[in-house]
This record gives sequence, structure tokens and C-alpha cells, in this order.
Amino acid sequence: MNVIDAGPGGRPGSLIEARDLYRSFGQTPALQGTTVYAEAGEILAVMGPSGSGKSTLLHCLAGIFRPDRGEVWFDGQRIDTLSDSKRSQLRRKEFGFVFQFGQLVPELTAADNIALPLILDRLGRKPAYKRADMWLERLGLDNLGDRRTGELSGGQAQRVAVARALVARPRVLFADEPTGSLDSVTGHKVMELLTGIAREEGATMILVTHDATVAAYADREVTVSDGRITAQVGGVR
Amino acid sequence: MFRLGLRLTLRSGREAFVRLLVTAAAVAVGVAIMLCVLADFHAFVTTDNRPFWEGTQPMASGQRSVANVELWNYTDEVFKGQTIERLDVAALGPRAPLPPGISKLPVAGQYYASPALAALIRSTPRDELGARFPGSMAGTIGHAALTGPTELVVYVGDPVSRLAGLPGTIRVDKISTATGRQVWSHYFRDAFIVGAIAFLFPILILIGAATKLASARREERYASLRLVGATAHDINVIASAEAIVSALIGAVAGIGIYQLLQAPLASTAITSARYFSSEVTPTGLGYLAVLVVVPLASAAASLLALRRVRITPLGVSRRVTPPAPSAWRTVPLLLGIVLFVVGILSTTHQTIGAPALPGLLIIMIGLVIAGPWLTSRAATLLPSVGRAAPIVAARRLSDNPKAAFRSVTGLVLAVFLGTVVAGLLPAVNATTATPSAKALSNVLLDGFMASPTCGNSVNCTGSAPGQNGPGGGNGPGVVPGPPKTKLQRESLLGLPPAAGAKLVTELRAFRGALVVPIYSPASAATAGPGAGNGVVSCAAIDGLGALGTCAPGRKAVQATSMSLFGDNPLYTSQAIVGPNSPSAPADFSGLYLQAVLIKVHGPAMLERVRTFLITHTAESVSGSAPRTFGEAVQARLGVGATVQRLVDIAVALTLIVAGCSLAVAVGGGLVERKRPFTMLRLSGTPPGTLYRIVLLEAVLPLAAATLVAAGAAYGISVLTVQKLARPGTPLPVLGHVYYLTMGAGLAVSLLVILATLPLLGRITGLENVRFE
Repeated sequence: MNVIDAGPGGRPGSLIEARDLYRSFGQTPALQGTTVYAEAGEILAVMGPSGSGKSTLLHCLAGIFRPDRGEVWFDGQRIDTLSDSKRSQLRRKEFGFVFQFGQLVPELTAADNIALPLILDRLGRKPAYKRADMWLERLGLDNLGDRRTGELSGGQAQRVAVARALVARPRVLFADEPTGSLDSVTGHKVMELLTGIAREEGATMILVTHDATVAAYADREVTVSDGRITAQVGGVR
Repeated sequence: MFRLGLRLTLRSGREAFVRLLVTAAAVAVGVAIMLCVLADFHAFVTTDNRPFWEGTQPMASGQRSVANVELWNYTDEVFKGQTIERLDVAALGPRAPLPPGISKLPVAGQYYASPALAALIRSTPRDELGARFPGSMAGTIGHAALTGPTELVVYVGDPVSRLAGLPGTIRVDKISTATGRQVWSHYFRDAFIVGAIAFLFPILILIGAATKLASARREERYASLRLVGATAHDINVIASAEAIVSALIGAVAGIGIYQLLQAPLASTAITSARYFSSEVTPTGLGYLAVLVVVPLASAAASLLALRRVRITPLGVSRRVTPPAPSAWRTVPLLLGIVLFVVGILSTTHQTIGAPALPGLLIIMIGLVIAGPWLTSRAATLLPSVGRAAPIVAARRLSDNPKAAFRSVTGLVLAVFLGTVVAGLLPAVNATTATPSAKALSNVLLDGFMASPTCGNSVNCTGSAPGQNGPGGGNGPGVVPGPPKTKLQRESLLGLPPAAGAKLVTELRAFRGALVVPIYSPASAATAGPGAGNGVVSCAAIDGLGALGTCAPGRKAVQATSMSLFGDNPLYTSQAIVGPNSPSAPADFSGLYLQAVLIKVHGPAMLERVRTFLITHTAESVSGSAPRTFGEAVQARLGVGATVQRLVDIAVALTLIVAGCSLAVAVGGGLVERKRPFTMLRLSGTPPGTLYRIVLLEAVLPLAAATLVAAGAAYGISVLTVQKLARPGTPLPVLGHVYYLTMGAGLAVSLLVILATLPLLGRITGLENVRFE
């Protein structure tokens, strides 16, 4: 395993860490001094009611939002001050995303969608699609590679999203309500798949959910309320 | 990344493929029309800039050697309303210059004809046309001398002795190669510019509307790409690739369409005559510009459109809410109106409206700029109706009036141009084609008096500096002094009595011909040129009717015949006799024949009489060709008709493109708003309400801006007619043809909108409810 650099003043062993984050949308504060970390290979659930700031926290950790104040560190590197292009590169190489819906490109097939991060990273077309096929097979979608996302069921589309998130072997997987649009049976199947593969790949996972049964798949869970971490359940593995 | 863009463009499913096709089709239509205009404009400019051999000037006096000199006599004749350019030449030396388009100077008894004239001579009875050109045809004249394939030109070889005796003959040692632009060139050019602006906007809007099809979906896709790590630069490259591919396919297809249209275009006389097909082509640079500039411009437009939205990994948001259009948008329109009024007030008979052109162009641009403001103002009237459809439509029109107006811009410009033409040209034409000119349309006029000013003509007999008589002057040069010899004095009066009497007798032998001789009064023989008008027989002139009638009981009167010899039918067709015309002796036997009017029946007889006059009075010194009053009117109306044709074509093209633009914009808007419309359906809104929303959104901006455009255009016609037409000309009246045309155009627009409504029904059908 790689030696993790938590950065100056960081918590030893943490791969990704938010330190005292503040972020507002107009007059509405979303984060008010939030500090959180995740270690390599850890699955961290971020819970909280609607509007508590948990999605904003995830977006700040992923470098999608810049915090108004505070710092975000990933593997010893401060990422909230990076340029847009560098943060895009980080999303391409180090991070993967699974959202509730809408993250797939509707005009592309399932295989295209899975190969997309690799193509964006200038991997050749053939190896990109070879890996996409491998992931399709791994997720039980091997007959659906040529289908456009609009032709897939909700559970199938979410499995494609999982494959796309993991195809580039990211070190951190961000999942925002990944089962929010699925029925409970399908949702649990997706969660089993998602956490199982994340563990197999050794990826850290930040899982935002308001569903306690989904949070149960995590090693540790924190609760966000009014933009602050108010509770923590579970310990360091 | 560009390859990914290509892949997304070409292999992204049916919707993307349809978008690609529609965009490419829009670009193709725009490019094809643009190439047609460029091609015709290129032909026009090339023809207008060709060496003007007709403007060859007399050689400088004092040269003794005649080795490189020829006698040159350029005139024009008419055949069935078409002008024939005739050059009579006779070499004086072995190195006499060669007119363009032939390899050898015709000798006496030979002539060269342009291909169109050669064909005409072959297909026409000799006594109607061929007899005018003595000898045999030695060959045809090449392109170098011609403006187009239908031009009628003849080079006639003459004996030196005969040509030296013809009026207007000059000595020439070199042939002009200078450009000789037509008097009316700038009118045609201006019409091209006005027309080009009129349909440039709709073309750009059509292409823009097509490229914006499903833009929301596309932008969402870009957001997804951003989420998986595409940089903003990557998105720009992908968007550019999409735009470039569709524009390139469209440009190539447009060139293909143009190639299909090139032959019919070349065979159409868009201006007054046909051009050579080899000249009806865009330049190589034009093609290159289309293939390079169109895709690049499309890419630039695509990137510009992306700047209006913020694409983040989480989705798409508008960067700024577009501010509501303010009343400042009317400033260019008002400025254009002011400039037009100033321009039209400062116009003279030399400039004839040219100073007003910038104002006209700015008004057109101003209408496009003011349109969104007018739309937003009109939208404020809607909610007071109080029903669902007007409220929703008004909300959307107020929210984005620019988008609402954009789809009807072309129609508004077409209405504007159509109204200007409908108001202006009939009024102008009415001042030329007077009722008496129409009544005289089959009456030939041939004058026999010498030109008082004849420049360096080798046989000049003119006098009276500064005056223009029948036949007009023969160009710059030395103006001779008063007539010195008896022959010179007599030539200013017309054909000698005996020759005149013989001619009249021979003319009366033509079946059905009514001959009205006009004689120079006896006193003119001593008083000199211009002293008197003419003397006519009352029986003869009364037979014509349209040129006035004598007081009852009179046998002959003095006539104001000099007015017949101008070039404006408004004046030449005025009555020359009346009840107050002074009586004159009815014995014409000793009088010189000043002119003759011949009323004939049928075009064949007309040409036989004309040919007879040309071949039997060539040595008369007038040098003017016999022409009917109708032909003189037609020559004037031809310019207006050409301008009208150019503008009509622009209006038609604008309507076609605007119709496509409207269909694409309305259809695209429906697809784009599938989700909110479906939500309205789901929440119980009846389909009829949705239809009314769509109709109102398209019809309201169209109605508001059309009213303003038609009002401004009619005002322009009124101002122009008042300034340029003679006093007392009535205000322009928009005839039934105008209302029918405009009504049909607007009805078609309405049909285009209605045709998209089934699409609305289909995409919002509850059985199709599905949000990806």
C-alpha cells in the first residue's frame, strides 16, 4: 500500500481531508466550519437531513466546488486552490463519481459511457473499450454494452455509472445518494456491488445518503447538520 | 478530443443524427443561396468592368498617317424591343485597329454578328432584320466584345466612301479598353446589397436556430463529460468539432446544390440581360471562403453560445439572465429613418435616391435590433386577456423576447422590402408609362434632322453650341461653328423635299401603315436650326389621336415637334398639337421632312417598316434609330423592372429561408421544452392550451414587428415618391397584389407554425412521458 501523505497539519493516515470548510450560496450558508477525513480504502458515509450541507461537502471534497474558506487536501496536496484544469485532471485520474441520476451521457452506449474517462485520459480506443467490456462483464451487463442509457432500466443504468466511476481505478469514489432513484431491492444490490468492488479495488469511498440502511454499508459514518459535523459513528479500521 | 467530438457528432443516436442533418441542411441552404448571389454578383461586376469598346473616342486631330486608322460609326438599332449595337467600320490603312471578338476586320460587303444576333438573322425574314446589314455574314463575334450570350451586336464592313458620308462617323486609331460602367450600375449594385442584407439575417438565424437544436441536451452532456474529468478546453474542442462537422457537411452540400443551380441561374436574366455562364460563378476565393469561413464561423458561434451558460460537473446553469430589451433598441431604427429622410431630401436628379440608401440599410438593421423590444412591449398586452395560454406565452415572451423575435426576423424583413417595392415602383413606373405613351406603343418615330453638336465626326454639319437635337451629341470634342454651306444648313432641317416626299409615298405603300410626316416650316430654312418646331397635316395627326388634335376645320398646323426627340417618355409623349396650335399652309411640297411617325399593326410589319427606314435613310444625318414610343418607355421601365426583379428575388429567398428558420426554431423550441410542456399536460392542461401558447409565442412578435416594418416601409415609399415623382403624383397605393402576396406569405408562416403542432401533441403525449 502507498504511504499516505496527509499534508502539513493533516490527520496522519488520511487520504482526503476537509479542514474547517465554509461555503455559502448567496446568503444561505451550506458549510460552517466542517472538518472531515477519510483514510485509504475506507468507506465513509455522510448522513444528514435534506439541506444539511452533505452534498456540498462532497462536492468540495471532490474539487467541484471551491470552499469560501478552509482547505481540502488529497494525498498531501491541497486541491481547493488548484486550477480548473488540474481539478479536471484529478477527477479524471483519481476520483470516480456515482450520483442519483443524470451522470451518464444519454447519446452514448453503455460501453461508450464506461470507456469515456479512459478516452478523455488519452488511452487508446481499443484498450479503453477492452476495459469497458471487462467492467460490463464484471457487473453482469455484458449483453447491454451497445444499448444507449435511455434503453436501460434504472438499476442497469446505475450499474453502468458504477462501472464508469471505477474503470479508471480511482483512489476515491464519491457517491451521492447512489440508490436514491432505485427501489429498495435494486438499491441494495447496487450498494453491495458498489462497496464490494470498492473494497476489492482498495478505493476510498465517500457515500452521501440520508438512508440509514445504505449508510450501514460504510465503515464509519458522520452526520452533518447545519453545515457542521455533529456526530461520528464507528472508528478507524 | 476532436475525435471524441466527431464520434459524439456522428454516432450519438437518432436525435444527434437528426440534429446534424437539420444543421447541415440549414447551412447547405444558406451556402447555396449565398453562392448564387456571389456568382451573379461576380458576373455583374465582371460584365460591368469589361473593356468598353463602345466608348471608343475619335483620334487626336493632326495625325497625317492613316496606316493605323479606320472609320468608325457606332449606333444602335432596335428589333422587337431588343437593342442591336451596330458598328460600321472601314479600314483606312493596313494596321487599322481590330474591335474585340473578331480576328479580322470586315471588308465592305461583310459583317460579323454576335451568336444571338446571328441566330436571330437566320430565323427572321430578311426584310424584317437581315436586310439592315449589307453583304454576307463572315463569322460570329466572340465573348470579348459581349456582355452576355443574348447580346445583339454587329460589326458591318462598309466602303470608305459610304461610311465617310454617314452622320456620327469618326476616325479611330485605337479602341477603348477602359471600363465603361453603365449609368444604372450603382442601382443594380445597391439592389444587390439591399437584397443581400435582407436574406443574410434569416440565413444566419436559420443556421443559428439549427445549431441550437437540442442545445439543452447537448449542454447536459457536456456537464457529464466535465464530471468525468473533461476540462473546459476539452468541452470547447468537442463543441467546435460538432459545429465544424455539421457546417462542413452543409457547406459541401451547399456547393453541390449550387452546382445544380448554376446552369439555370446562368440562363436566367436576373439583371437586364443574361451573363455568360463562365462568369456566373463564385471566385475560387469564394469557394475557399465557404469551405473555411463557414465551418470556422460556425465553431466560433458554437463557442460563443457556450459562453452564455456555465457548464459544471453538476450540470448547466445560465451565466446571466438576459436583461430585458430596453427602448434604446429603437435608436438604430429611428436613426435609420432620420438618415433616410435627410438622404431623400438631399437627393437630386443626378443621384436619384442614392444618398438615402445608407438610411434604408440602417432601417433594415434597426428593425432587427428593435424587434425584441417590440416583442416585449406587445407581450405586456397579453396577460390582460386573463386566460392560461396568453399568460404563459406572455411570460415566456417577456423572459426571452430575443429568442421569440429571432424566428420571425426574416419574415419581417421580407414584409419591409415587399412594402417598399410595392409602394414605390408602381408609382415611379406610372410616371413613365403615361397613358399617351401606352397609346403610342406601336408608333415608330424616325427623325432626319442633323445633330447640332457632333464632335469630331468626319462629316459634321452641326452648329448651335450647347444644344442637343434629335439623335443627341456624338461625344466630346470640338464643337463646330455655325453652318457655313447650304448643305449644312439643309441637313439641320431634315430630308430634302423630293427625298422626303418619296419616302412618305413608299412608307404609305406598307399595308395598314398610318404615316404622319412632320415637316420643317419654310421659315426655318432661313432662320436656322431650332427656330421652328414642325408642321403637320391635321388629318394625319388626328388619326394618331394620342399626340393631340387640331381645332375643327384646320388642315395643317404648327406642331411643337421638338418635344418628340427627348429620351423621357413623360415628355416625348405629350401632345404636339392642340386647338390653339397656329394654322399653317397645307401645301408641304417644298418643305424638308423633319421626322415621320408611322403607326403599324403587328410586330412583323413594324420590323419591316423599321428595316425599310434604316436601309433607305441611312444617309440622313440624324444618326438616330427608328424606335417606337413603347420601346422608349420599355427602356426606362427596364431599369426599374430590373431593380424590382432583384428585390423580388431577395424577398422570395428571404421568405423561403425565413419559413425554414421559423419551422426549425418553433420545432426546436418544442423539443427543447418537452419537459415543461409535458409537466403542463400531466398537471391537466388541455392540449389546445399548449397549442395556443405556441401560436401566440410566434404570432405576437410577427404581428408587432410586421406592423412597424410595413408602416416604416410605406412611409419610405411616400417620401420617395413625393421627392422624386413630378408634382401632383398621387400617394402610393398598395394594390391587391401586395395584400394578396403579403397575406399569402403570412398565411404560409402560420401554416408552418401549425405544422409543428402535431409534434407538440406527440412529444407531450402521456404515453410518452419519460424523463431521462
